[in-house]
Amino acid sequence: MPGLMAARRRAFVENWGLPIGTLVVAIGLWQLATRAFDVPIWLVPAPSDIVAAVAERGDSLWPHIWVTFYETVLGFVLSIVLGVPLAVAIVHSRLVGNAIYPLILITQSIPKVAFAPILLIWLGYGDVPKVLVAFLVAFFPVVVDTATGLRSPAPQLLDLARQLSASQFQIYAKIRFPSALPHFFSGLKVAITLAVIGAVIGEFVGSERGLGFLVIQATSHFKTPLAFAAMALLALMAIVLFFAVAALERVFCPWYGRAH
Amino acid sequence: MIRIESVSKTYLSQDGEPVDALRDISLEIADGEFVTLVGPSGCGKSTLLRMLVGLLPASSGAIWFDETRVTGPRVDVGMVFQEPVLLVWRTVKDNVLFPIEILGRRGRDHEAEVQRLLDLVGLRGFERKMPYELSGGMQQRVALCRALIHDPAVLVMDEPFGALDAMTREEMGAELLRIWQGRQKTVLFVTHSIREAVWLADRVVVMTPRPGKIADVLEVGLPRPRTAKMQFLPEFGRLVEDIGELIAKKPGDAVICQA
Repeated sequence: MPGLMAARRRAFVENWGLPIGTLVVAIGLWQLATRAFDVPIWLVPAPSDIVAAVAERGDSLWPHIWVTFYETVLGFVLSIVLGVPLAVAIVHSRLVGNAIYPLILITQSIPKVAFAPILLIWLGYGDVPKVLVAFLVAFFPVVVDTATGLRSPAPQLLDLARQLSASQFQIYAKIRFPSALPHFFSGLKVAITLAVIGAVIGEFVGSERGLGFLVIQATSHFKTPLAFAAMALLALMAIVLFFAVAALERVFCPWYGRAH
Repeated sequence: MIRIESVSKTYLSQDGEPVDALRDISLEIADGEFVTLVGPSGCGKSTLLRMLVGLLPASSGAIWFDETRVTGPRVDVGMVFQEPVLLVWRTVKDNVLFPIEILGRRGRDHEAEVQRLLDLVGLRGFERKMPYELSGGMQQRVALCRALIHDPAVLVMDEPFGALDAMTREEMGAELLRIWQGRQKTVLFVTHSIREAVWLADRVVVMTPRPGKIADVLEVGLPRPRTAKMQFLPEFGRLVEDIGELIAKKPGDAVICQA
């Protein structure tokens, strides 16, 4: 079936070729522009300068990558560990929901950049304040989306379960949690990218390592290519983590996307 | 036998005013009887069903299953709604087994029963399919199997075919009658369609809204098993007309008489 083959090839070009092509062209233009207009390297380094900066640093970058990675992941995991029970509490009891909603809203509304220095005073220079900032920015979407998901089952389905005298545990285990999974993962996808930003904010305020620290250190010495390199690595990390969560989503709710 | 004894339901509206949803409903349903409830929206049909299965307490009056008064959920009832409300993450088989799981009765014989029920509704070989792979009518058939799996004495159906197209709807009605005759269930069936109500039922309960009341209960004298042709009998037409008039009697209520 040549028609089908052609359609597949076209879909492949549209889904992969087009975005990758755009990226390559954009980077190429950037490279050309910095050379053509003779832009100083400390102002805007060319992509090749950034690659050179990474190569020059070599393996000494890994500890920084690792620190930011685990601060992000720990903050993210913490947002799930605390966010999901909180969502259950909000859905389960209107009173509890009313009681804690303002607190959740306040923690979300406080600018984390302003709060991070205070965490530093309380908890020092270690990794803990970074993990906490990552947690603080990540946990709101987890709570809100999980709560929405737990509330998503059709009232008739809940009626059916109650009529069969299902226990609250059964209703959560067999109806509410499975129904919530797609919403939960939407929340996680937002949360994981936010967690990276949170970790970087934590590092900006005071740290001795991590990619955020590297950006601060590099710019203070006008080592702009290194700052760009750290930024690119951060973006890469966020993308990789995002796709990891998306992959988990496909494992845990393969029905989603076709069910609605 | 189900006995509904002068049941009323009063809600408090948002601004604290009491609203009569149902007033003084009395009805007796014999074992194995097929009763349809027909009436415009807002006449409290769904409220009555929810009280019957023990999901909602009555404000006054009582409902009895034989000698037992309904005070909480009745697990010996199978429920079907307008939407199939299947568990989208489960296979057809596991959806049908859902009540068994909740009731903690899982066992080998139920697997065989799932097969029998799926056979009965023409879904043999669909055990491992996911709900999204089925049409609306097929999903509703799965919901019907789910309502029957724990072999309840009573089937409570709230506009079960309301979301289906006319052809599927007739087909499903015929199927339901076949199952009902084979298994001797008591059926309480809510519908908006007067023709459907007459065609399926032994008796049609006509309700009028604000407050929800029983306007009349009509015997359907048509012989069993029912055939599609019976819809053209003069007595069928007369019943449909009578019921239409009963509902229309309430001033200000538009009557939608669906096929």
